[in-house]
Amino acid sequence: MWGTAPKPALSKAEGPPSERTFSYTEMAIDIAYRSLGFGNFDFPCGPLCPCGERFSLHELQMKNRRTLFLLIVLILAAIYAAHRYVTHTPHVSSTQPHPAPDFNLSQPTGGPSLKLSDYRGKVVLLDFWATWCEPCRAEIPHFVDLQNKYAAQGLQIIGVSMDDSPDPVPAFSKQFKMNYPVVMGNAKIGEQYGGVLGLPIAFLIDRQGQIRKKHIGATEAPVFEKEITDLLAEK
Amino acid sequence: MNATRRFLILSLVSFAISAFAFQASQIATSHTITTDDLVKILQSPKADKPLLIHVGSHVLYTQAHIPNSEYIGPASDPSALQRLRTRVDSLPRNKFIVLYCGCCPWTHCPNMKPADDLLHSMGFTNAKSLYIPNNFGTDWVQKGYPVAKGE
Repeated sequence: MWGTAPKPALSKAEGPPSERTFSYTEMAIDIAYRSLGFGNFDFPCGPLCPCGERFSLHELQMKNRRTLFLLIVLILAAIYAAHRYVTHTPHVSSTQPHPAPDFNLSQPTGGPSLKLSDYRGKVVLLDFWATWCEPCRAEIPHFVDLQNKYAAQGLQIIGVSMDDSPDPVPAFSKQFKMNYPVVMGNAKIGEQYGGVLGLPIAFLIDRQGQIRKKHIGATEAPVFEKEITDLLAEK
Repeated sequence: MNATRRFLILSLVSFAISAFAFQASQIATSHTITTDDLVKILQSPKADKPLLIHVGSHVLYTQAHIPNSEYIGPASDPSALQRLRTRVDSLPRNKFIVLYCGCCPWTHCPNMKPADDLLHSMGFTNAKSLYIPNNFGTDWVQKGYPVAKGE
């Protein structure tokens, strides 16, 4: 009755025309049907199959079902991870523009110290972060992309590491291909910027050196990009 | 290794990555104390006051910390964990201890769980982790709770 076990591909474009193909929907239905204890779900023959024959999904290659199962597991894992990740709401404030405190901080590699006032005329994204801070690590690749994309228009990202020691910072910078300067922060600069009492915290500073935005907690890249482009467009 | 075993391992790894990425959130609720409850204890003249231990970054500690708390260091660092062990080893195992950090969101804190695990493995029955959902600034300082600065 069942004939030779078919070996369908996942799409109708694969395999010879005489073989039945099954959509992901059909495979999901079969898994659910079997999970409920109703046995195999017998799918009707499709237009490409010999007339009158019915094939059981159970006779499919295990590879197809494994692929679907893995997909379901990965989706569930992603949903679980996202649910666990989103337990806080990043806070952003549009501050009354006020001067960004200048600083003169050393670089972890021992190069010349860096002054914020040297970047007057540019839009500066000042990011307080640390090598052990997981949300910071998630943001940094986006900062690298933004720096590449908008440097010519006047964006300058500066990373202020709040690590207790500069030792891990150079290797971290290299690993994450940080294409913007990194300086070593301390309690003093934290207090100057209103208290850096959690990471990450990012400030957007306009071309006149005024703080315009403060982001507490990890923030999505499109949000930063919109704010950056708005500030770059200001004269 | 056949294909079935391979994909089962990959499935387990997917879940493991998502689970273990968020260490602090794995601390049992019975091991935690909220900021509101801690403040009530600290402000009560009769309540048994805990030994407060900061297990996060020194740069953050010096900007603001809970008054009378001791700094040990980031508990994700084995040397700080050893300092914590040494500090509490001579204490009675029913001593009321509160660990806290507040470096970043609770689900991402790398310091709380190692410290919590250590104290409970040493037999401390009244050790609590201060539940700080966002960070110390948002969940303690901005609420007007008591703060000290410096060393």
